[in-house]
Amino acid sequence: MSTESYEDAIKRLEELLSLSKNADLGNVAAAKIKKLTDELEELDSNKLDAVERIKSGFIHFKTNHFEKNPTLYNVLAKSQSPKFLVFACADSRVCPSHILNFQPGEAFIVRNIANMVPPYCKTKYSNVGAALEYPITVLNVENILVIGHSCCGGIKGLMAIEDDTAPTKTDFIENWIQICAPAKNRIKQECKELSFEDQCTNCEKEAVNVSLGNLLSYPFVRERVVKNKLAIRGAHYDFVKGTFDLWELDFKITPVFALS
Amino acid sequence: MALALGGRARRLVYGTLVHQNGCLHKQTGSDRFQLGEAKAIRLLPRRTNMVQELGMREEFMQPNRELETNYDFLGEMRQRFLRFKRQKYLPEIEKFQALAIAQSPKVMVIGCADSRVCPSYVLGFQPGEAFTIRNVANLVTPVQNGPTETNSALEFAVTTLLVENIIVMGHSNCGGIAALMNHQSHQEQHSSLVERWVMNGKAAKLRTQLASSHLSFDEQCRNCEKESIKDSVMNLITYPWIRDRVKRGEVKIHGCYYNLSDCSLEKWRLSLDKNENGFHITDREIWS
Repeated sequence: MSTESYEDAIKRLEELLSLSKNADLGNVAAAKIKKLTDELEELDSNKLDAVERIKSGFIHFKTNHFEKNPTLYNVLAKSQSPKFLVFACADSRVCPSHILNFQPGEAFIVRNIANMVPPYCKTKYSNVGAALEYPITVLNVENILVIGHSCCGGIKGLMAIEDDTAPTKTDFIENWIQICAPAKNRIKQECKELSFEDQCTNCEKEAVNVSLGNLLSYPFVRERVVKNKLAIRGAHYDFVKGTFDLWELDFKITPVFALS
Repeated sequence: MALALGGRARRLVYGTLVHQNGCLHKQTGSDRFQLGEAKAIRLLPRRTNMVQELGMREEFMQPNRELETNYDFLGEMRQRFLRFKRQKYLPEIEKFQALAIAQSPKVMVIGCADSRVCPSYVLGFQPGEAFTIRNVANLVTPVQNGPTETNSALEFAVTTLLVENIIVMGHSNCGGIAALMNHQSHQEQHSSLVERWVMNGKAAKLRTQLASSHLSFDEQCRNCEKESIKDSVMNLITYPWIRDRVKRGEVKIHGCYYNLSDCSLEKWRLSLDKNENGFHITDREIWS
């Protein structure tokens, strides 16, 4: 901004200030401000927000990431070879790319309600089956990580189900979250004396354990775990306390002991 | 065993119990963190007397994590998390504390699980902004196909979180779509899990083959990726609680196609027809 226009602007402001001491003009100004605010509120703010938001987000990505790492992105354009397969919750607060700083190309990330892995079933759960089969058998990832988190709405909904046999109140949600019903039943039995919130926290971790167990029901997963080509781990991200707990599923088949 | 990776200071020098080879060993060292609360799963039975009777077998005594001899997984995860904590979480602690109470994202994204197309990167979403589902080939199945992980998440986002926008984001070089285009229908019985899932995009494949069979396989895949996004978007409308909200203007549906090779984003919006019975595509733009 040139100094000329700056000085002009200061002059005009001073004029306005001296004028505004006049009460009538003050009312006019107030009325005008109210009109402007009303107009702004009427604007289709949703559309502006979402499309403008993703546009600025995309431009930021292109300028700060894509154009600064042309070699990496050239390679990624042709193929990917991630080392991690991550199951995380769809919750807006727990994107693994933020929490664990995964760069493009590092982690194949599956996100669903309450980061659940159902047991192997070709017909009912072909979606999760596909999400496991592709990275493990085609991309040869070596690490699976299932990340649970604090204040999970899905787990809270699961804990709120009193009777497993009662008809569901929702079309699809309860059908999905009952995958980890064994976790809920266990926590309800073992942690009766804890508050509902503490029970939910325990259930969040236990549900991760149920998912880890379900992972082993997939033959291509079990085969690789036994051969030590694949490691399975669980985690719990607590954004209230700012902590991250990590643990491992240890599974192996011992050599055969001949008894005769 | 669990290792708590939180906190700035290193935890105390305690002897920690480590489960290895069916036994509990004590380990000390200043780089050990205090044990957390979660239990390890042990699917192995404890060492029984049987082994002692038969003698210690060499192979049984080998460490069973050869995978990690050269790779420090825990160290890497710790570094990654602490970097997030230092650079994002602590500087914006008030925002995270507010988010800890409740999330109110305005956007729901259905993206592909592909490692190269995280919506948080490509569309720049920060924590709390977008409820994100990622599945293979970002497919949305219609309501009549029954429950899936995607429609359960849609139900939660639309009816409970009350998101105002749904974005279906597809991308180029999608392995799932390539599998769809490669799949021969006579191999139905021996279909892999991936093929069973991507067959939900059959209609897009048929349209692509009709319109562009003269093009190379790669070019056909590009077209199929875009047709599949359109199908997924139209399948969103089959859900009555989405359709009603779109008609009332409470929810807007967008499609996006991210091209990995030239870093361009093609986006468009679904609009209600004037007679309010159908939908059409509007506001198509390409950002590059």
